[in-house]
Amino acid sequence: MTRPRDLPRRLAATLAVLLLCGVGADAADNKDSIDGRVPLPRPAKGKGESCIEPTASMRRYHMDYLAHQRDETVRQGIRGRKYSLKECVACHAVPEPGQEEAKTLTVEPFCGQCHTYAAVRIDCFECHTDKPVDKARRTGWQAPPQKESRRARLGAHLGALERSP
Amino acid sequence: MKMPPSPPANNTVDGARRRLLAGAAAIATLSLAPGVVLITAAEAKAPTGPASAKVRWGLLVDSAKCGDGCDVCVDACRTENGWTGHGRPRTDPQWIRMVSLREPAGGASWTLPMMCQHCRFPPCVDVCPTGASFRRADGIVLVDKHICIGCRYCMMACPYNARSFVHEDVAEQRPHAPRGKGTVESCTLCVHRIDAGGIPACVEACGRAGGGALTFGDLNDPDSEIARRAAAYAAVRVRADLGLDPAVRYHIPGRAAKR
Repeated sequence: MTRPRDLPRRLAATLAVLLLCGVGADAADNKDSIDGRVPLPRPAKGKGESCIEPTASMRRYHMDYLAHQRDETVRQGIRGRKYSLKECVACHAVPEPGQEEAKTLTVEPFCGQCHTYAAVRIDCFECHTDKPVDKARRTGWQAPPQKESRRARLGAHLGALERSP
Repeated sequence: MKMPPSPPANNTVDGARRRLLAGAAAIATLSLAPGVVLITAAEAKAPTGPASAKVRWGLLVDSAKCGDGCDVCVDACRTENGWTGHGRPRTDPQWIRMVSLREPAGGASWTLPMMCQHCRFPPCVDVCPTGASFRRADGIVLVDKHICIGCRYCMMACPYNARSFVHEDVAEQRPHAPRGKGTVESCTLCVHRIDAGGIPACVEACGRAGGGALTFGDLNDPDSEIARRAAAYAAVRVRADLGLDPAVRYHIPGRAAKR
């Protein structure tokens, strides 16, 4: 009988053997994976040359930058500081892969890649939009048609009634 | 003769210091030239805020100008902040609504917009168990949806029925107005516009396409249009008996001005 202490060692050995044998066609085909199962993240490229912080520190600390500043913005009304979710979206919202012609943009191909890999659920976009600002602004409030136009429409309607026999 | 208002005493030092610093910065920039231009803070937009406790943002509703059947303000709010209904009035979110009033004795009637009254002593803040409901320094009452757990105590506490719970999944949010299922929301007085130096969407829309019944401004500034009008009309606070001191004031025509 295997003693519990040996179990990890045995598992590791089995895994190594399996890996050496190239178990699973997927594993052999999938060069983008460390363990042969989970594909490595390939975040979509954002706009511009570089982010506002070096890539390494953005990868490690982006959530801290955002969380710290969001409280100041929501509670004290301090706006326009260095970090902003809107700015993230402005650069990192891209069309869905395979639908480059699509009009709707999303940050999923950027954020989703690593977050899926690390199995860390991202809640930002449950509430925040992942569409860039100018895209969303296009559907902003417009003054409703004035009374004149309604009257004009009514006039046209009545005129048409009169003309018809 | 009218004298220009002198700056408040506690500001003069700051002003002088600021001018001195600006001068120093200019000298530093000059000495760095020629050819080399350092652009750091100058290029990035300077941060704004924090909200100041010296101001108290408020709204004055002049129901004499508020047209019967007009809901331009509601429409503007809906579009500006992206809250839409699903045709289920009991659960649909509602940041602002039109209310019709009728005096039973004389039969006179008015319509008014009703929304978060941005109380000085907001009961929604008192009851919030997580601190998500809060009052900003400039008097705007908001929900920090990051920590709102959706318990809806604030909705129970609010005498104006101003808050809504988001029952259903939300899509197509506005970038400045994040909204999500499971949180409570209400009129923000268009805080994103105010922080950018603008006025709320309802006020803008009412002035442009409605009767011009809404006035927005600083209630603390006695020279502001809203403060002057509120004083001239002896504008009323809804449910003044509760002592919450709302920042939204109403002018009801024909109502005797009590001082």
